[in-house]
Amino acid sequence: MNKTILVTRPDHDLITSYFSHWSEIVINVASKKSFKVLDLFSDKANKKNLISYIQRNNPGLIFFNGHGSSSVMTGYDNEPILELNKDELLTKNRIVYARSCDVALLLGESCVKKKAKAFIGYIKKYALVCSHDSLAFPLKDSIARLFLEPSNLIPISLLKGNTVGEAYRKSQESMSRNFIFMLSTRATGGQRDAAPYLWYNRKYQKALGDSSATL
Amino acid sequence: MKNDKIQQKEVKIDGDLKNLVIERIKASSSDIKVSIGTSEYSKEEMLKNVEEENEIGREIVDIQIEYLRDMADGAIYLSS
Repeated sequence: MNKTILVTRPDHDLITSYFSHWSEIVINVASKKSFKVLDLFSDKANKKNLISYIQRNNPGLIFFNGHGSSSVMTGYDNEPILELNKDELLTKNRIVYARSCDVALLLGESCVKKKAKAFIGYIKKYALVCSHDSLAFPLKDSIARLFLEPSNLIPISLLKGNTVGEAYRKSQESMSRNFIFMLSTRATGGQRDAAPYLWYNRKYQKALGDSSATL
Repeated sequence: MKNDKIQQKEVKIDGDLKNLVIERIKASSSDIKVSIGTSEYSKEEMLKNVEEENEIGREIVDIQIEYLRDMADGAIYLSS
């Protein structure tokens, strides 16, 4: 069992700031479970550090947060840090979760072909809905929570010893539960209006590679 | 040689679908900001993008229409 995880969490705009704050929850779980956490926070989330930390520490899980396209995952200030047909070997023998738009479509497939154990991500845009009132306090945002708690379940389930397939299922089920809540009369107007976007994330979240892989 | 270049016509969004999405956004809460891709949009900005039928406007229409179609097909019951 490889008890090291690497997290990239740039914070140069609103969405990356939200991802970064919500990744702290994953980092806390990892620490409690005695994992070594390589935290590439803010401007540390660059390609030079990514390569160096991977080579020195051999993390079992890489948890990317940031913007992306079908062929590129980016870090701080949208610097490309993992590129199609260039960097796939960085993910060899590792589980990857990319909280980002589109990356699972080509880059994720290519990483798995080049021996990443598994790659979980999104094959279309990742949508996040936030409450105006909570922009300064992302962890207190009652709309964003409905998106980011299920998303966090991927790395948290893996840290708890679940397989990739189980982590994916738990994340999907959590999104379904939140979605049903959002359609109910208990939801606020903002939560209800966010439902189509959560539905989209759920529909296009994919787990590629070995579903029985664990950390 | 004439017509060597393939001319890519931008396919316009169906007018009814566009109007449906505009009305849904108009009826939505002003409290939310929607992040898609690298930017986030207020209710007014979403309306402007959909009306202009630009890239992000098309993305918003796709998300909303796909949701409505899936709900009409009962996809949520199959998935939960």
